[in-house]
Amino acid sequence: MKLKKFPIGAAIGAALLLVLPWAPAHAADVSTAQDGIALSNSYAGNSWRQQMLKMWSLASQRAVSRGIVAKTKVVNADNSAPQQASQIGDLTLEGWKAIVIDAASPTALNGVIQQACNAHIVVVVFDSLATAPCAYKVAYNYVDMGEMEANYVANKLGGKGNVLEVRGIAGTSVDNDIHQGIDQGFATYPGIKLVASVHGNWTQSIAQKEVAGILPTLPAVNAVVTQGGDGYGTYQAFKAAGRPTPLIIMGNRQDELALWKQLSAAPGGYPTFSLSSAPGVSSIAFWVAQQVLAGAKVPKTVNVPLLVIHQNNLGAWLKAVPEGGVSTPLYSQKWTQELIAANLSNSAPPASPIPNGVP
Amino acid sequence: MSSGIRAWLDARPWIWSFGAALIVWLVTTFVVQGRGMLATLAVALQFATFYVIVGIGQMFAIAAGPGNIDLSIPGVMTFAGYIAIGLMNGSNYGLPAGLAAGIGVGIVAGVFNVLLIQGLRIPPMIGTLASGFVFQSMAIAYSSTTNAPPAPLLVSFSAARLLGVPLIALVFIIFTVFVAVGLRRSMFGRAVLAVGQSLRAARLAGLAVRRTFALVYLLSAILAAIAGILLAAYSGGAALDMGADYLLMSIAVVVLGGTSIAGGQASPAGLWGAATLLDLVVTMLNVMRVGAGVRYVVTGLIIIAVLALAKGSDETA
Amino acid sequence: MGLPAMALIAMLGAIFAMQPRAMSYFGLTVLLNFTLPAIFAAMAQMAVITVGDIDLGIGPFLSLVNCIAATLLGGRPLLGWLSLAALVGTYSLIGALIQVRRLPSIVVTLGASFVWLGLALLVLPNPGGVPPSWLPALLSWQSPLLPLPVLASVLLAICGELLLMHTSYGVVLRGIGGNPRAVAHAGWSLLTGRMVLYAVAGTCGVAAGLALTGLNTAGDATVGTQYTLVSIAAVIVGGGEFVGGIVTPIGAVIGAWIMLLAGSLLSFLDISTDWQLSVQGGILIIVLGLRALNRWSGA
Repeated sequence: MKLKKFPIGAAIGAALLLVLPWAPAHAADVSTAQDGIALSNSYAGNSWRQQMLKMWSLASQRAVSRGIVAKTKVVNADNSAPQQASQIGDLTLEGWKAIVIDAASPTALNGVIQQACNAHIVVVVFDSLATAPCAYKVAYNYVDMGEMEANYVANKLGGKGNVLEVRGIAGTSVDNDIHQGIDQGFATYPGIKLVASVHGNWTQSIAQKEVAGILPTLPAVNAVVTQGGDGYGTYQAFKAAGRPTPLIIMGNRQDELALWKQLSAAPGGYPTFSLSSAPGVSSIAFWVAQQVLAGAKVPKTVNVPLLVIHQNNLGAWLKAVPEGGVSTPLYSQKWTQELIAANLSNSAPPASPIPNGVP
Repeated sequence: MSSGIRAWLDARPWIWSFGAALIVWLVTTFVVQGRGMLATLAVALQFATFYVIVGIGQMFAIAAGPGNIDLSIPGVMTFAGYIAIGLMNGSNYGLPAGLAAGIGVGIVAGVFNVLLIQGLRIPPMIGTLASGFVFQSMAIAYSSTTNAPPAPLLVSFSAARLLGVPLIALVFIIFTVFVAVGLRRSMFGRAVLAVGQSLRAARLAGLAVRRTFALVYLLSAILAAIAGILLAAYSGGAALDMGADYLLMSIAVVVLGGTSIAGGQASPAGLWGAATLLDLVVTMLNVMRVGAGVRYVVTGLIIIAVLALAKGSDETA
Repeated sequence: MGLPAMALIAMLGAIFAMQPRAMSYFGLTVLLNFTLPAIFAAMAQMAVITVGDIDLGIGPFLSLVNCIAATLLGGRPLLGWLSLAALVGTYSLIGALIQVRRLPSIVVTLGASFVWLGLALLVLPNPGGVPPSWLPALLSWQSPLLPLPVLASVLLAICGELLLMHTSYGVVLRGIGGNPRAVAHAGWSLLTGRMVLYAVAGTCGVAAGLALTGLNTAGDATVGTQYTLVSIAAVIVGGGEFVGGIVTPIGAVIGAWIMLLAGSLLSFLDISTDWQLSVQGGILIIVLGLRALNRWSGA
């Protein structure tokens, strides 16, 4: 009897010996070539979101053509949480291995996200985050962003002056966080007075309308803190009202950067800086999803550095953005791996690469 | 006292909206201690103009009788704005083509609505709702291919001021005067009001009823397109949600302005009062540093209150 | 009413053919979960359309209920339930205002929609909140045999059908929309009728908001906005008409399913979501066009 078992055991042992050298050296090399990663986007109606979708396409299609993943798909909702929730439900039924989400609401998608997690789907949220505990979060620190703006303005104004705040869409986590940061930042400067606060919804036309509406009733405004996608509209409103141009914190839209360059040409220049979230964050989110599927060690929250543009590299960034577009780098798989490693070891993240042409 | 004053007020249905607008403006003046009040009024007129342009079209629809309404206005505005600006692409040479294309969208939309309502016998509320979806959808598809800026000439026109008053407001105030005269003197205007008062009587009197309805919806769509083009130019470009406000606001300015939802009567002057009122309310609340929540509640209550007061004496069922 | 039912069966057939996973208990639940708020919203709209009115505020009303559920119901249930009851009462008062002052419902409910949105923002300025634990639990209950959304739809449709179509008062209520003068002459109070129907609408609105809260497990002041147009489309696609008090509860439920499944159908067909609105508009046009042709050839 023992003799009979021996050949089988030997066969198995031999097979193992043959296979072992080819087994994955470490977990992160699990192949994702059969997997599909889908994107559920809450809103495609402004230039930032459209650039974000373009960057997703570039990153995901490159991955598909190199065989790293099998397929990809994008669904857009109309800024409605129940609609996006339905779409995520459909993606769950379709068998996608990972779903990346730019959420219409921080909380309204939690139920359907949990449902996807229960079905063993990897969920990654980015930009407009959801609070669902099972989702990986690719997060900008928007509170930091607000504080940076407030500190810059307070320093430039010498600690004293009137400031107008242009906010984003009311009720979103991004808007709340930036506002909180600005409040915290200005708290240490009693000489700074926040004279008004309007919602520009990150859209130049709405920002222009809201600022124009309230401007006649305001005293002299020395600076404007913004959230991005509203700098140009704010400038237009001041110009139409015949008021001197205040210090405006710029975002990364092409029209804002071009305006900054134009104003810098005037005598005295136009000292400001640009602080924003890059639409290319969708490519980071894509690679984070792929890395999780590949079995790599990824922290639940991956912090992404904000995109900061100063006067000295304004020219380079302006060259790399299409007319009417939004500045952003395209983040690669390798860059994302470095970012993840930095997050895990709590060290400084890699710098955003300046693209050398329109991506 | 009541019946004499009541009769005077009833003959001027637009008076409630102007009165309310005046009150809101005075309250705002008080809160900011008079700073920039005329400028605020000028800005309010600027934005009110867009509401009035679509309001005129909606007013014709509503005046044409109960059940008539144009819910496709936001979609048509948005798509016309995108197409027009897209063709202009930042150059004054593109201006004629852009304008023609944008108004063309309005004409196509008007014809489409008429086909749905008269050809397929779909009730106007649903027919225009559905066509609005279609046009918004086309704007969504088109928007991802373009980020064009408007022609500089059109931008200047949309923001220009004459003696402190917005130019487009002046242009469309004159247009409103024409509309008011036309309602009383032109065949089309009288036909709309007759049809609105009694469809049966109008038919018996031999009026071209079907053609009247068709012209009403065509006019409304073209005006929506014009509003979309001007708004997109003023805002530096079209945006997908630029029409969002206009669905409900187009109805509000018509009814608050004194036009009866029962049809047969129209109040063009009241459109200006109502549009200015609604814009000033937002400014007033912004200036009072009131949160978004209170702002919405107050806006809603004002709409209901003005309506309840203005309609108080309407005894017709 | 046969047409909407056939359209629904065709859509379900197409969906199952393309995505067999949807045919399981789990699949049907995922596919149909969001019909739960939609069927109640459609029923609320139907109640108002019965008397020839329209409710442009039902979407924001849902959001308000959602916000109350995510704040008061959990922490201070008594206050929470009282608020919801007060809201239903307010709806009834709106009906009374419309009747007594002969106001156009389209503008009154439009004004109300602003009030609901404002109140929602006051109750819950930032999305979040914690609903009472029984609410999400109720919505994830695995009902025996049929998935919860299917069960709820069937029960609601039967309930509505019995109450509105097969009781004598139901006939009276429908008469208010069709021939108010005759109903008044027969001695029924138009005021009471309207208030009753608006109270029903308010109650269905509360149910819809609670269902949405259970699904989302949190509150958000703008979550319900799209339900206004969806509810109108659902009632009409299901066979209702604006004039004459012609409504059908079963049709409203079927209509809600059709409007929601249209999105899923697009997704499985891999058609870009850009065209989703076109499809919803197209469904309305096709269904109504066919109905008109039916009437022409049948009349």
